[in-house]
Amino acid sequence: MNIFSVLLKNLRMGPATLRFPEEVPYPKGFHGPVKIHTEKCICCGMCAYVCVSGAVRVAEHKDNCEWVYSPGLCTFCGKCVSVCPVEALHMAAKSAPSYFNTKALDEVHLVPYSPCPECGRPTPPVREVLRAKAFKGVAPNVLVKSLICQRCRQKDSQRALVSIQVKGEPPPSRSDK
Amino acid sequence: MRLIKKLVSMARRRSPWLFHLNTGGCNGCDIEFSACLAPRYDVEQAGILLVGSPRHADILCVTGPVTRGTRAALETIYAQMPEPKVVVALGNCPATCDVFAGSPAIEGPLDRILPVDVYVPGCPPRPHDLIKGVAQAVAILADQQPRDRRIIEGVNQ
Amino acid sequence: MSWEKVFFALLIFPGLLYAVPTAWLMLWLERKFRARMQGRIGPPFYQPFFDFVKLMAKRRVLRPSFDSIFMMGLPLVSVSAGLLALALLPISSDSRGFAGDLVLLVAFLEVPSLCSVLAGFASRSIFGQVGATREAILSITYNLPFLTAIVALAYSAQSLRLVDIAASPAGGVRALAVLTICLCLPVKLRINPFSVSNAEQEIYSGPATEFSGPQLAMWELAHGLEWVALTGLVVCLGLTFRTGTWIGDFAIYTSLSLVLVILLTILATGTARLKIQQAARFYWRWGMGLSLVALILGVFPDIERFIR
Ligand code: SF4
Ligand code: SF4
Ligand code: SF4
Repeated sequence: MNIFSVLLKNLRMGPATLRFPEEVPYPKGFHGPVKIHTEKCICCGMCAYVCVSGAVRVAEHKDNCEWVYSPGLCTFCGKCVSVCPVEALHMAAKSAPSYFNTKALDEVHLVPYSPCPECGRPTPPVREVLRAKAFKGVAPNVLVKSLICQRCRQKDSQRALVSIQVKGEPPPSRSDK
Repeated sequence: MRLIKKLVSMARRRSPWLFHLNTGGCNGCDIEFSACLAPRYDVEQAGILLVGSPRHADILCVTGPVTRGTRAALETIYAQMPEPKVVVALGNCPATCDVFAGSPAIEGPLDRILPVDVYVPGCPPRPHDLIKGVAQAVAILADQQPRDRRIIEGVNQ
Repeated sequence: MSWEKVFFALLIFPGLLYAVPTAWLMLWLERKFRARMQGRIGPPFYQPFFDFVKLMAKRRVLRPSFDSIFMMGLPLVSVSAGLLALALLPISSDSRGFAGDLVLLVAFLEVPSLCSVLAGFASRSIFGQVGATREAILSITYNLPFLTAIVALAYSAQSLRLVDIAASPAGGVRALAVLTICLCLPVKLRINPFSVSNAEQEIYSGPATEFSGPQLAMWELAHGLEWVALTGLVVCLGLTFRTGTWIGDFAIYTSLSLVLVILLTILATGTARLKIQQAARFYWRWGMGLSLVALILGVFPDIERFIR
């Protein structure tokens, strides 16, 4: 096509430009900054493990865990969202505003631990979603173990081992509290 | 005198000229930046022009973490721009080095080398965000606030 | 010409007061029209004015003294040459001119390009020097047909006065000569396809690369004045009639210049930059051909009569 006829066509059709305050609407599934629902998080650290640029960091403390996110480091790839086993993460539908200081956008969220039903020590929370997903089709006497803390679970296993191997009895059963 | 000041401020608001510099990014931001110049976004409607020489520019748009090879060029270009000038960091690279953080070839982030006025987040940012960031830079350019105050305000935001 | 008239021509019409806003208008029209043809909105009409104010308000970059004299002076010389050239144009029917003003006009029209060659070398930037070299080479190529056309015009009117040429009867010589001058416009204005000397992005901004702030503002203004002067020249030489009233002349002159700006913009938008050899070949083949025919017709008017 002749370039001048193209120019004429452009002239006839008018500009394709958006006037400045006008915006292109955000598409569905837009990858904005990552957001967390702390009440869903189980502090597994998968998001921090897969993050290519270290934008998400998970630090475990005594009675809570710290979920730190710097949008300034994020590549908005969505990897963390797809690996989170309990769907605690999602991406905002809008991009972050421009800022004046590099630390301005950083977010710190604390995920509180819940007490272990057995010993009362703070333990990473276990959510129903995870139990339904990870312990599907498991005998109920094993399923109840998913709620207790790591130490209690170890103790339980040792007790079971001792009763089978040493005493020759079936392991003690536990009822759901 | 007041009138002249007002006129100058108005002119600065209406005719910011950009100089664009990639200091070793992945080129994603540069592509989005080019989209701003294309018919859909057309920044020329706001008087924004992409100039070829830093001597003509008011706003320095930096993309990419500052690599060893580009640092000298970056400093020269910044020095060549006449005052008043502002620096806009486009994308996450100049803000934090993004995926390149920790590489031995990187001298960034940008604020170690130049005073940065506006950061536009995103990897890459949307063209519209770029334009908004530049608009903020233009406001800074027109009002000519002292730099430190702005940064303190930025922290509070 | 009386002094009042000279001052009027220099400072009011078609000088400073008329030419500067018109220069800005033409710069805007060029940008706007190009944007529209590319499907964009383009800048608002006050854009060149605010560009100018902003550039004037920028702080100066200090240079070694000798260079800075050149770098401050050359844009100013360029602007004044543009204004002087405009003041010489025989726009209204009551302008008288003086013997030899054609030569002066041609000289003034050449000053901006000379200035930009000097400026390119004075700025000591490699891009400026490349641009200056290209500008110098190009000015040889386009000035040959341009000057030949002017000579043909002057010879056929038997006068070196612009008024006489403008009043000479329309004919083959005049048509061909004005066509040649039209052909030389894009390269004199440094727009596509002959934007070789200030090749944007290729050698940054050519000779103006190292200029900033007020000096750059002056360059922009000089460029705008070139637009006004050159389109004005074509309109003045090409128009075979005058309305007789001042207002009528003014209106016709301005509107035709603007039409010419639009035509040139269409050309600039639709074409890509040529190489310098291609540009030179174009001017030496087509430009020279046209202007030589005009010259021959001017020297031997019998031929034209014979063809008729
Ligand atoms: S979106 Fe990608 S880069 Fe951003 S935090 Fe998640 S994994 Fe990291
Ligand atoms: S957000 Fe998801 S992946 Fe990250 S620690 Fe919490 S549960 Fe694990
Ligand atoms: S911010 Fe992201 S898209 Fe932009 S240059 Fe850096 S890595 Fe590339």
